[in-house]
Amino acid sequence: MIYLDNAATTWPKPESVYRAVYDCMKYFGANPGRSGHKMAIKAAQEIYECRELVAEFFSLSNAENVIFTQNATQGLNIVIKGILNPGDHIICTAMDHNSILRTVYSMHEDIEYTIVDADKYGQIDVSYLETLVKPNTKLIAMTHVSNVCGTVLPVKEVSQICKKHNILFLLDASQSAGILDIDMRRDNIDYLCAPGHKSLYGPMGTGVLLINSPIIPKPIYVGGTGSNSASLSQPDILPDRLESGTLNLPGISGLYKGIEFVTQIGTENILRSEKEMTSFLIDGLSEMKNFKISGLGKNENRTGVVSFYHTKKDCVEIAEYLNLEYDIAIRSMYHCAYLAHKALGTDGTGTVRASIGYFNKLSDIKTLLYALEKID
Amino acid sequence: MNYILVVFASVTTANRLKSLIRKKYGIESTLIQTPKAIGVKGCSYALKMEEKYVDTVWQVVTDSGVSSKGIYTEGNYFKIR
Repeated sequence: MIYLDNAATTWPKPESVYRAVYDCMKYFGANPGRSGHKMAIKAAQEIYECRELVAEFFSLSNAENVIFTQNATQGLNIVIKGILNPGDHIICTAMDHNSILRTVYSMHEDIEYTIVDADKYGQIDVSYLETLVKPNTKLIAMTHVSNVCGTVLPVKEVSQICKKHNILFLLDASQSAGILDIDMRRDNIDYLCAPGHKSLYGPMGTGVLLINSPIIPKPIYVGGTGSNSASLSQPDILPDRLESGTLNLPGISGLYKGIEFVTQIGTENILRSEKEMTSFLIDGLSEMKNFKISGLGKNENRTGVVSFYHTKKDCVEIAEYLNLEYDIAIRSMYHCAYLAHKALGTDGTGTVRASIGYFNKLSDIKTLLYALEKID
Repeated sequence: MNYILVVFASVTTANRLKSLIRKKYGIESTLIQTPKAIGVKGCSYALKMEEKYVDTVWQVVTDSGVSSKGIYTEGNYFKIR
């Protein structure tokens, strides 16, 4: 199989990740932070070491401010629902995933929201965004990289606006964590959410929420934390306040190895490798008669997520043709980001999205282009 | 040999201090569940280590801002910090 759906989840994973999940379940699969026996202590230690690694990876000073979640969506829900109060205003962008937009919209009876439009390249106008700030603007939530077309949005500029106006900044790093260099302190990011299972190369069922602000979200779910059990109130301390229930220890063990892998390779090398293949793909598509690229060209501010469409053929049928005839795994339609498609001008067609990962080879892209030429 | 228990509200905080004192001073400690007799409102965790480290570890607790429920002697659970 040629796997080009890495924006949905990366595959394959490094061998060390598979081993870590298996070893955890087989040799120390106790519930971490609930008991005092050797296996439970070992399990708790494993969790903590991963917190430290995640904190270091994103330049967060305190490992206790790393919250493990099931995925980025859960983290985004925790921040948006836990920070905003009735009457607050939030700004988000048309390039955001439904994990931000639906969460915001679900609160629309109590809060105000503004969605900043993007241009046909998936980019936002930061100056215009600043004009939307109001006295009650509390949070700006933004995706770092579009999951539809790979455009990199201006994190530094938006975080500067947040700092200037004393607004909290939430970054959805779902498509950038493990690819682009992210430093929460340097980049003034108050909250960062990322899935463990995309470019951090961990298993599905893992995610992280990092908090770099004294303003801690209210918990959106409560329960057992293995601490302060005699109290009916949820603990105030992190991470317990935002982590109730049993953690996904096998997943987190795997996530540790995934981040270790990314650190060993280096995000700059991962990005360079993906960009080479991206350039090749874009060059190839540009030579075709009826296939059009959605978003930026090859040498621009983008990652290895490439959306394209055929002027006369259905994108779902194209994906199915690639699946059946060439065993190419790819995603089509709206990618849980309809407003992004509207901005890009593909809300009428949807797109086929090829998302390149570290384990792809140039031959994968050549095969994809060969297959597309057949139906151009 | 006498031991002390440095008590924390959560296993994460306990692990944080365990990591700090090992990295900074090479002090080894064992993570255990806090005995009920110490009574910190339910489940909590403690670091068990030799009593000779009491001043050093308390300094680390204070300097790092790690929230501790105190230091107790093992056995009679007398609170010494």
